[in-house]
Amino acid sequence: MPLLPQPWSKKRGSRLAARVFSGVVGEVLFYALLFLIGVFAVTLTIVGRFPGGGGPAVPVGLGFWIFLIASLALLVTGGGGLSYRILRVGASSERRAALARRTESLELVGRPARQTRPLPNVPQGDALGDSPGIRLAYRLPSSASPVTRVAAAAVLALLWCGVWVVLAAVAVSGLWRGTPRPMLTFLLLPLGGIGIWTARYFLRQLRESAGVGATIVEISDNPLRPSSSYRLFVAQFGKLRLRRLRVSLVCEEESIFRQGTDVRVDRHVASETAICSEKNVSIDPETPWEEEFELKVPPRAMHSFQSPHNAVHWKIVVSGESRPWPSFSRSFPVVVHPPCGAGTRDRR
Amino acid sequence: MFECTWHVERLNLESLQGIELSVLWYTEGKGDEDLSVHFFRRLSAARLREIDLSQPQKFVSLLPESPVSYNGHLLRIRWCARMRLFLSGGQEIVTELPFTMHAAGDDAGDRPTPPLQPALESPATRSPATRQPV
Repeated sequence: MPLLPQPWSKKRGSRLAARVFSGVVGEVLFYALLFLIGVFAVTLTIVGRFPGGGGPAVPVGLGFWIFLIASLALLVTGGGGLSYRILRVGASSERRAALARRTESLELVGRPARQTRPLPNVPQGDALGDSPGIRLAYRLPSSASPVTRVAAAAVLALLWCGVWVVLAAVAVSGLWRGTPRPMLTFLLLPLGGIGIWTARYFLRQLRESAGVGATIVEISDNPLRPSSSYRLFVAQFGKLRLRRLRVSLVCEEESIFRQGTDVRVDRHVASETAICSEKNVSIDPETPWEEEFELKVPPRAMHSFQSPHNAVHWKIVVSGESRPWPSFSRSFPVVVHPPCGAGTRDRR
Repeated sequence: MFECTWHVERLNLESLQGIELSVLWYTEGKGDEDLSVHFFRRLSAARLREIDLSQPQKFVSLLPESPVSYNGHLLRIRWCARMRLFLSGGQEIVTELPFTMHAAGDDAGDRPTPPLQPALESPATRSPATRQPV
């Protein structure tokens, strides 16, 4: 049966129902058309501005510049898209990836040589070893600082409430002068509700930050390897009474994907190993809660992995259920490397 | 050390414009696909005329220590040897031989594995420009 050209098609799973060549031709024609329309529009603009034979010239105003910029945008988009698509003709995804990998290796020229060969797509975790600990070798940094969260909540609450106050002042001045603004006055109610929510969120963050003191996590070695044991030291400061305090080793998968025009991130806890779970813990500024544990990495644990859109993270999570302060959970990333040496397993 | 043998049959060799051989890993799952090529070789049409494609050809590659194959909830990491044949008229035939890469000393006997794929041969029965599901 002869293959007829199809202007559109669809993917069936990982299989493309149409011929790839048709898609390439379609894209090239689209960008070529954009480019030609751009050239035509730019020419029209220039000819209109500098007409030959003594005709009237187009006046230079806002409309002239908008038309010129739109024409140039069409020209650049069409020309750029056309060049990019033509450069990709005949290059498979494997070939492009191989070229990119070769470019990365060229960029390494001139850098100081590492003592150990880096593992591809495994975070080296060098930054985790920058801070020495007091009890153990390394103090782990927290993945998110509570100060940043409090500052962000404060900015949000202040901006929103500031705008609400300005709108309220406009509404009150209207009433004062005898020219009320009913729509604005009505809108002040829902806007005020959102303002109250932002203020409460800010206060909650502030309470958590002020009431729940610093958490310190130190570890005896970095990076970690499966089936190995390490010493772990955890200290919790502050003045609070906890119903439960938990320390666990968590492996989390992370995926970044596009949904329409949005970029979304999804996370899933692949495994969680409890290290400590203690009930009714009292902490005051004079006697912080301090414990040292043995941390054993599971024998068949997946190593830490990082690629542009996917990742496998390992972290130590310290979480507490407390009253009257809100519950908290703080993460301290660690890096797990694969065991030395890797091989293949034939499926047959 | 990864060693792979391939040959081409049931295909008009005159229509072959080139062959690309690669060893790579790619991700599957909820996130956008990531792909990294560890080994890549392109055989041009002139080179293909010099070798007998019906006889087994071999390539060898030393695999890196990471990433190992992984079968998670949001993310799966697949390793495969991939062969892409370029035919006249812009058509392409792609075939894959997946394999599992594991860390040394890792007993992955109970780890779920994808179904076995056919060897790198007999592409003539396959539709062009497709990739077999792993």
